[in-house]
Amino acid sequence: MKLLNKTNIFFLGVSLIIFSLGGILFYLLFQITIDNGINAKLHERKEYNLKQIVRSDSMMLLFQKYTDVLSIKPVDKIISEKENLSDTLIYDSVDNQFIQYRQLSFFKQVNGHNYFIQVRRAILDHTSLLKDVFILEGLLFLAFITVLTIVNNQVSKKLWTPFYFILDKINNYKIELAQNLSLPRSSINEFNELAIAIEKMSTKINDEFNILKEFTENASHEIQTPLAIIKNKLEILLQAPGLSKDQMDLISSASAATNRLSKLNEALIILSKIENRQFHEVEDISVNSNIDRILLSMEELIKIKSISIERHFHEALHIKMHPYLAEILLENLVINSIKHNTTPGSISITTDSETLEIVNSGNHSSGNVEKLFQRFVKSNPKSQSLGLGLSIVKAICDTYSFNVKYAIENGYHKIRITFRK
Amino acid sequence: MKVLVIEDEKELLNSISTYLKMEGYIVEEARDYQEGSEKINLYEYDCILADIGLPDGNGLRLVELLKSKQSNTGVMVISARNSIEDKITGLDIGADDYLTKPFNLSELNARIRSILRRRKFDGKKEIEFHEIRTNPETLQVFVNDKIVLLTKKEFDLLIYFIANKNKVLTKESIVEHLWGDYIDSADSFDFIYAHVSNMRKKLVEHGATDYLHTVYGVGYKFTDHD
Repeated sequence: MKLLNKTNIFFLGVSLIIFSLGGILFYLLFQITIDNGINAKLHERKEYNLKQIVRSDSMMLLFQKYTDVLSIKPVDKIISEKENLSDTLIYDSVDNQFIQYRQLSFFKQVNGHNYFIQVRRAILDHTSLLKDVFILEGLLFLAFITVLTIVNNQVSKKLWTPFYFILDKINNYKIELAQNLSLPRSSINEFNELAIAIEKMSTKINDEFNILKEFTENASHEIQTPLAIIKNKLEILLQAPGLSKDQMDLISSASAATNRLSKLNEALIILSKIENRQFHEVEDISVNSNIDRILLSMEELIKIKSISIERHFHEALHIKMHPYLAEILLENLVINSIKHNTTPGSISITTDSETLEIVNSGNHSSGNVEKLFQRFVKSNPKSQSLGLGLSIVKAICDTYSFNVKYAIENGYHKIRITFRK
Repeated sequence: MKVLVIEDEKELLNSISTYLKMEGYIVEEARDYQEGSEKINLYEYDCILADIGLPDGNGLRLVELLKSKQSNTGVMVISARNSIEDKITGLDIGADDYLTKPFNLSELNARIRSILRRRKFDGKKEIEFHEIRTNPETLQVFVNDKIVLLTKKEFDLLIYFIANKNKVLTKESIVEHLWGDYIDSADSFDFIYAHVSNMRKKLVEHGATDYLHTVYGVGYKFTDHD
């Protein structure tokens, strides 16, 4: 959820509570004020009426018409000295409805006669008051929220612009390009701090990445040189005259192991280079013609193993990738399909505009085929191969977000790469 | 044939010059950029071998220096880094070939021979070994002037054997020579065997002496001595 929506919801909730509480308070205050006003009026009225009564003829009072604001009844004796405030409903024949009145009732002796006097005033009924208050409150609330949301959205959009800019920069940041992030400063301290922190972090990441890169390259250099020395010394030793068969065997085994070690080192360096995304140059590669070229270079091997090749190039397949990685990827796939084939065997290569599929006959391998993508996992444990070929294929595919699937069905090994999603 | 080897790693330099001397070259050595540039300025060579990563400079600069002085000298660049950028730059500024460490001395030797052959405009471009005569440009092989049809790999194999005659060649070095880096040598010995025996059979059928000796468990030796 967007921060803006979060704050909007929060504001909405808080203002709802404030407005509800405010409404209740407003209503209570309103009611008290009105009540007090009415009560004061009633008391004024009482004084006024009493003065009139005192002045008027007592007989006149007896015939005083009963009105909705004043009623005077002669009584025998005064029951209570206290005044009594109460609410009552009186039917109004004009409006054809009951109207609420506040009345002040009291007993009074005037000119030797006892009277029960009631002064009244119509009051608005509570429900209609409540209704009015809440309608007003509601309208105010809506207006408030609308204005608040609009202002909030506008202000937020403006305020968060530097944030989104920074976010965009981070998203487009490519570590392998080894550029330091430079972010613009804004007038907001928090975002400036964020920008500075991120810039510092990117510098640090770059430094670390460069150290790692240098380490990888240096490691390759440092390991390859002694390997080269061993390899060459063994080669010279092998030429020494008068070597016995056993001695030759020893030299040859040492030489083979050195060879293996150096291949392993090379493969691991390539893997780490791929995984560190150090190949960012991109060229347009024609898969079909590259496969043709590789098959041509392997022509005699294919003949020796009596492998029949079927090519189904339905459409031109062009991919954008680093030429060296493309070479490694395609050579690995094609050579694997030749190497791990049966004699005689078959290979079928199919391409369309976005997929490459190589199916070859091979041994009935079981187990988890996906595992073959892991390093040092081989389908045949006795094989002298390094078990890195498919890991390299996978690493290359991952770099370019190609989808690679490997399956073994009825003695046919099928590898399929989807270059576009 | 005079060859200058510029390599900072003493032992590697030693091995290279030992092997090349066994092959009959006159070898001069340089341990760093300074020494290399001095020798290039003072003497003439048929071929130089330059390591890219020298302690006091880039070997590629030496190649440029050499090309400005002796344009007909063959150049082999060697590098510890299998970097295509280096390879492309090296070939762009006039290197004839590029090898990544670690390499087989037999491979180095075969490549130097090929560079020298291509550089020698006046001399013959054919390679002869007793009754066997090959032409690397036309990929033709003759035994006693009769043509023998070899496949591309068999031809490469023959050139490689002749270049390293009288040397024991390991199966690994042969695999690398024929297929480069991308094939695991251990899985490929059957193919080597097939190629070698086909080549041998064709040559012998056309009346050539069988110069190829199997060194059991190790590899082969192409020799006219017994």
